Amino acid sequence: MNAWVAVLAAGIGSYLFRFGMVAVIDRRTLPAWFERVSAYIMPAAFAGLAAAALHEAVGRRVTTSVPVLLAAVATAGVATRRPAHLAVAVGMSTLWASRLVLHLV
Amino acid sequence: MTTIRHPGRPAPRPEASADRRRDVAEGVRAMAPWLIGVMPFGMVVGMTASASRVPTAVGLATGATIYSGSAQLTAIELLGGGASVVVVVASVLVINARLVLFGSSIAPHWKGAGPGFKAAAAYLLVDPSYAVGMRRYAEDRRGAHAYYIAAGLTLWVAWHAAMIAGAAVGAGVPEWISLQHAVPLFLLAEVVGAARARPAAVAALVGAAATVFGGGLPLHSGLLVGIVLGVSAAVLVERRTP
Repeated sequence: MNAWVAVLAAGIGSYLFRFGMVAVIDRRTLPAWFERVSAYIMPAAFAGLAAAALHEAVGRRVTTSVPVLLAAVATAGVATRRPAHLAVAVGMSTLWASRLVLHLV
Repeated sequence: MTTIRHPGRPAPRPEASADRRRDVAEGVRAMAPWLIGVMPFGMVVGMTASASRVPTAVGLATGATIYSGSAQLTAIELLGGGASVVVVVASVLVINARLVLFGSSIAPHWKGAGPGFKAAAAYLLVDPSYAVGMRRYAEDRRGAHAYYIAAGLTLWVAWHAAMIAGAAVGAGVPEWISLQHAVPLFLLAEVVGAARARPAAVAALVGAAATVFGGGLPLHSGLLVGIVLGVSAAVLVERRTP
């Protein structure tokens, strides 16, 4: 029962977050500086999310950290020239291949 | 979606519905690459929900209510660990606080749209739909609403399908596949592809570093700190570059 309450309350709060500024901005104009600043929200947020998840995955052991780091480097390298989904495919393949190699050594 | 005809307004052009269909198809297609990263993550959320001590239905319901992978995982793990309602709700809201920023940056494009559109558009707002939508609004505003809703619905349906599949498969997915790494790698690729200009690259680097170093902050607030510091650093760099 408590779990349902938590999930519902968290959902209502999340919706208010999503909708809140939409309702506010409908009535007034945002200052010009905010529009400029908002261009940087996406890179900062996505990089933060990715870094936190990868940092957690790296851990302390060589066998777990090296494949994840190699996968990140491969993904970033491919992403400079190719679309993101190709970069992920290369990154995940790198992850599996390097794990296999480390496992065999 | 039906078109309501208002008296005094010109009748829609005959090619309008063809345009609409094209916008919808383009929106669905724009979301497709994201699904490669997002669906494995959805499966992980479903697998976590089925393994958790809370009922699987509660875990899966986080999809329709919280609708944000990292916040859903946190909620399921905290609930499974017996955390109190207040801690669960606070943690979810801190992780989802970035949605306020996403909302405020996409909302100017929704000005003047109908209340139904805004209510639905806000509900579908999350990292991938924000990225896909913002790109289209910046390119061509005509038909962008239909494009955004189509992209957002595609994501919502795929996300739920992936969660349900994950819950059904349970622990059947071998661990070496590491589905959970697909999303961070996809976000990394998106950032590398999008942050070409110097201030944006600085926003990404500072945001990443600050989030990692803020990992120990209470209630998972590291990400929020990372976003604020990243954006601030980018603005400083932008001022210095002529």
